[in-house]
Amino acid sequence: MLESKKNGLTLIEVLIMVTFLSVLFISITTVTTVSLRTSKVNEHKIIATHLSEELREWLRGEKEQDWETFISTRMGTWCFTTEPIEWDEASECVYDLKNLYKREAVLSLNVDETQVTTLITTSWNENGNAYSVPIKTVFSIYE
Amino acid sequence: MVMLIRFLLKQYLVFMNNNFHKGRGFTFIEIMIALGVISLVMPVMFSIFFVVARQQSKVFILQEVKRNGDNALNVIQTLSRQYGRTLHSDTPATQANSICVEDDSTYSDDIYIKDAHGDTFHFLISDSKIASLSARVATGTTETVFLTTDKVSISNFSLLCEKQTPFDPPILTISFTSSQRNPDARPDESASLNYQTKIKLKN
Repeated sequence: MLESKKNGLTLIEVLIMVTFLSVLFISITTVTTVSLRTSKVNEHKIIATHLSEELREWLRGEKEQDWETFISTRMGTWCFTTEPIEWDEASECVYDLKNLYKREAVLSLNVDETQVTTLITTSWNENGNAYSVPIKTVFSIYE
Repeated sequence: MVMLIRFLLKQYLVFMNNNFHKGRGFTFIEIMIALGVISLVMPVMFSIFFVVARQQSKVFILQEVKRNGDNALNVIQTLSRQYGRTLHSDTPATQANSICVEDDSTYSDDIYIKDAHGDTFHFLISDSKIASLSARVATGTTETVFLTTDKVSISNFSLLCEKQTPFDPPILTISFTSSQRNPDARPDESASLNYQTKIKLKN
């Protein structure tokens, strides 16, 4: 009886060990989950940046193709959620692109009609947070 | 923390003393329980590490694909816009083989771009990489530079020129797809990005 009492661990010792281990495990799990989530967001950010840049290059092409049509019919807010990209007069912009992203462009012409200021925004929602990649660029009649 | 470690160390020493002096080992049941717990915990740990590692390699590959594509597009765009004057279907560039000079004409085969000094440069796919070839008329030398690395493969590369009105210089359309080179990557892991842009040459 005395011997077995000597050999075992007391309740308080077991509790301390269990607490220590659980704190350790919980912190490891948290770190892993957070890094995994950040990594996923980064992946989506890379794609979103590419989508914004893709639209910028496409708009540049449209501008090079025909400046007159570009400035007379294309000013205002546009939504580009189709692939391949096309001018689409959707009334409402939705998170449709690759089932995740929303890509919008706001084009505005300056007073002397030589420059178009363009703000391209690709946005998406993830883990209850809203993310966006905005790109601002200026198209000039002569570059 | 130091207290805790000291406490655990003391406990361990007491435990060891108590056990070893009496020559008592672990029982079969104890070892079985320990093994059971380890065999439950280990696969979980490894699967978590595997998921993290896979996600990280995915991001890395995507970065590589994007960096190569961005770089190639940038170089082609800058070179053509900065130095391109006329377009030709062959080298050496002459008046006879110049293309996209007539109105409403397009050309999409090998395009050689001539600069202000009469030297030509041209872009082509070699071993799934984009190569930039520049030829100097004065010295008769050619130089090849790869714009993308071995890590990505470029497909659907096309250069197309078109001329619309007599006053506008020709427009060059560049497009390609940059994707991961590893052919046996799983479909959900393979990264691939499309690139396209149009530039207007200087007159």
